[in-house]
Amino acid sequence: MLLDPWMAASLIAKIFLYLSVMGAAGLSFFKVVFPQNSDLIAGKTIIILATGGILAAIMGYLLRGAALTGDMTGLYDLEMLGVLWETHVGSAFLYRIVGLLLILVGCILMNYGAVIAALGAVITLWSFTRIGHVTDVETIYASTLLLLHLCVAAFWIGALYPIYQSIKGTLSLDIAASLAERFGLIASILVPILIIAGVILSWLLVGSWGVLFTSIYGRVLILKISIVAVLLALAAVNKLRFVPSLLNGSQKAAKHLGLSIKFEVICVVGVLCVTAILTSTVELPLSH
Amino acid sequence: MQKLIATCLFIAVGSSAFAHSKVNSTTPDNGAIVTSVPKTIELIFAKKVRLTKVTATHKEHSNVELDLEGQKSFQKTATIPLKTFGAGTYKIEWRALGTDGHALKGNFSFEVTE
Repeated sequence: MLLDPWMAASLIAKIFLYLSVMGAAGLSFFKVVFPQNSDLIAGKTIIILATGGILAAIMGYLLRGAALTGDMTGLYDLEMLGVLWETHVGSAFLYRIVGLLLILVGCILMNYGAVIAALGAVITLWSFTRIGHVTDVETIYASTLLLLHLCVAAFWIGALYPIYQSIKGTLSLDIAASLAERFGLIASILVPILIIAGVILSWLLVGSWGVLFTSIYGRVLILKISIVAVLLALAAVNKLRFVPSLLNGSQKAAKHLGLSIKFEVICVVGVLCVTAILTSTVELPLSH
Repeated sequence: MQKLIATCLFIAVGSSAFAHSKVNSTTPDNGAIVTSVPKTIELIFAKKVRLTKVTATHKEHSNVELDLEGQKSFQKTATIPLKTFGAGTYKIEWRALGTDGHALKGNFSFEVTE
């Protein structure tokens, strides 16, 4: 039996939402952490991503309405949309729109714009802690862990674009090497936090090692972890091999780093697609 | 590795396991044979849900929507009046919203012999 078409459409909207939000949030964080390299991000990039996120959030909300009725009347059925509004779906949607609008405002403002956009990014990412499986976990710190996990993931994802631009642009290799090195230093602290938060959350959601391998949720989670492992391997090669060579002025290292970042982007898209599946169509293996 | 690939294919094609059906039991039971058309059908869910659409299909009557007037809140048990179409197979399809925001769907059927 194929996936319900409205649920499938919701899933696609969610994937676009994840891509837009992680991109907009990540670039907003980058501008705060690396203000001297903000010029690597074209002004309209974050605006396009944040706007895309708003549209994806709206479509996702309406498609949830359609999934409740099984036909397109749910897209504009005020009773169904009102029912959604009263649940976690409504509060998550509100946080998402407010956060993304703040990102847009931050892009337009000159003074403190980067900080406002970063605040908007945190609010947008907080929206994902208000809905879905994590709300089934009755612990105080689960939402905080998820927010931390998402903020670090967004920062990593967002940094890929400006670092790639620094390698491919007309800037000197010194600037690219300096940025890559500084990012690597920060990532060496943040990425372990991302992993630890992810492991704890997985444990809270799955409950046991046995279920990890025997349940559909567990197997999809293993798939996500496998792609993340490839990402970590690429990041390790970047840090230990390509960036040091780049610091020595190697053009070849710049080329390899650029290729590595392209592979990382593919992996990121894969992780976000699998995450969308995990959070949409797969049941938790245990009741909470 | 084979299980991972199988999981990818499973996800790509889709499955009834992804339908998020969380019904503990129904009255009549799924596949039951009864001697008269029940006045109501009952669904008992594992967790509280808000039913949003329930339809009955029987012979020439396809996807007839049932009255959900008494189902305006999240609850574990739903009792819904059933329209009488006479003897034959009744297929009940339902959609609901879980408290976690997930859309749920499922179905069951029973046969009436009069």
